[in-house]
Amino acid sequence: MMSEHGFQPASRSRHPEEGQWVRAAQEGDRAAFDRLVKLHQRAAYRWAYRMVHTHDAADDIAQEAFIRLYRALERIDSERPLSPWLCRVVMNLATNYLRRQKTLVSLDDNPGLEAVITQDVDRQYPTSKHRRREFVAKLEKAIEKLPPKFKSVLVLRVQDNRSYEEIAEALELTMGTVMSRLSRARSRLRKELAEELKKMRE
Amino acid sequence: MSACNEIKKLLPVSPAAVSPEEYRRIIQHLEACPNCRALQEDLQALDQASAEIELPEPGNEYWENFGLRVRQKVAAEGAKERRRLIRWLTYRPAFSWPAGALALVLAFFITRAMLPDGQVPESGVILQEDATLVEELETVGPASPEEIAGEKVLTVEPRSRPRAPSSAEELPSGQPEADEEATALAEASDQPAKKPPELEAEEIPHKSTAGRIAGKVPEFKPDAVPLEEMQSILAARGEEAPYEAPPARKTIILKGDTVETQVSDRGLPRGRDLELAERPRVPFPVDDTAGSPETERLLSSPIAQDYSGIRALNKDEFTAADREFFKERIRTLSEKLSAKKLGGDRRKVCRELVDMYYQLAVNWKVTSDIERAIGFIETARAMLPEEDYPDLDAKAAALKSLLGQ
Repeated sequence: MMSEHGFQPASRSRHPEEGQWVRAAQEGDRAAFDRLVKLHQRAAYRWAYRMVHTHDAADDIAQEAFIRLYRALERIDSERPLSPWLCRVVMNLATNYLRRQKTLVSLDDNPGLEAVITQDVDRQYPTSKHRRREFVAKLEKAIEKLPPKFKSVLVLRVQDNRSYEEIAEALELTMGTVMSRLSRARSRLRKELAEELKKMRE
Repeated sequence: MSACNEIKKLLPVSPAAVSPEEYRRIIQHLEACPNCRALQEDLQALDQASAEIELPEPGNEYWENFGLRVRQKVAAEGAKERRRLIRWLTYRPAFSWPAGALALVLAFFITRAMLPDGQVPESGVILQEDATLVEELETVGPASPEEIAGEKVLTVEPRSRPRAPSSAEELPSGQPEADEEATALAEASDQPAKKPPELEAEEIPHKSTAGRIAGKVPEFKPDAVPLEEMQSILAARGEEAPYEAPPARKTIILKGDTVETQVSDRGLPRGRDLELAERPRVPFPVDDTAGSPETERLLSSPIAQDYSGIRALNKDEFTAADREFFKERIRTLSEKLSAKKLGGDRRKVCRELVDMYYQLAVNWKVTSDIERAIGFIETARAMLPEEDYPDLDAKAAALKSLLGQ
């Protein structure tokens, strides 16, 4: 049981040529910069989407992160992995985006037409699959409501399988802060979804 | 409870996150503690459900173009930086135009405020030199040659300008018309239009072309006849408005074949005008053969013989009506010459105009007339054939000699 749902520490092996590409990009090699973009573009988009939950915003944030990388190329240490630096940039951009959108979140609280239809179908044909889908949707909504500083830790730890050390490095936090924020994030989610969790245990 | 608190910090536990011994100890606690076991199950469910949250897949095309879009944005960013740099280098405040206009307006009013009372900027009165030919001719005051015993004296004096009365009350009731411009200025400013005497002495020689020529004169002295006295005499006759004293006087004396030029620093008394006004007027045209012996002598001089136009010198005296005749003729010919459809008459008109300018200049010896005549002769060279050049050269030389050049 425990091993089935346990989390394996993510082994983020660095691409062997990443350092070389960083040095080449620093010297003006555009092809090397393109390779760096291609190497990290999916991760950047994934982090961004987990944070902002919309494709357009995630796309903008991921693109902006690589523009920031281009501007900061001279300051990048080619001996260190690029992923933590890029992750920090994406999370900061996403956090800023969420802060700007904070006033608009309340307007989006109402579920969309698709969600309403899904709920109606689930009520008419309540199956375990439908209940699971409903639970995941509610969880997603609950995660969306989390403060960015909790959400970023939760996203990296739970959804992106990052280790505490990697999260601490990426977000420039201490290990204790990472664990504390992760614990508080989970507690909020558990409180938010207490009724659903109780049904699932039954 | 202390064991629960310690265990809760590690939940949800996984075998890979802790050592095997720690993992075994946690499992034993969870089997014994329902609260911690429920927490473990809830957190596991949350983590598992969180991992199930689907991510949209934009598609291969999106990922293939992702880098290209980044490059485009980087390039656009560079262009934007360059534009920003250019804007910064060429930055001008948005309020520069209004501020500039305001500064000009303030400068205008400050300049006006710094002028003495009643004095106006030069553009209104003094710049008659820039007016049209007709306007200039109209402002020229009467003048006449003087005869001094045994010698023909040609007085070349700067052009006189209308002088404003010292005040509106000083204008005599019987005077038909005062200087309209000065009156208008006096009315507009509610101040006397008369300039302070100390300003007249310095300004007048430099305002007009005549004044610039008279600038060669080392010193200017005000009128020898008081203005008020002259005004009263003229007003009693109701003939003409008072005039300023000309700044200087240049005299050309013809002694046989020689020409002498004398520049007098003595102010030209307006009494000369009064003296001329007392003389009997001679109708125009006059009989050229009725000249005095002195006129005959002048006509026989080398200078007079060189120019056909010098015949006018034979006149014993000229009046304002004669002068008006020349001015009107010049005006008519000038308008005719400026007409586009003049055709072959252009040379004829031009030649006559040269003669009219020359007659006006040599008969009245007014500096501004002479200057205008010289200027038009230079202009006429472009319209006349070379066969006319000797005549033009002779006229120009004679006119320049009148100026003492």
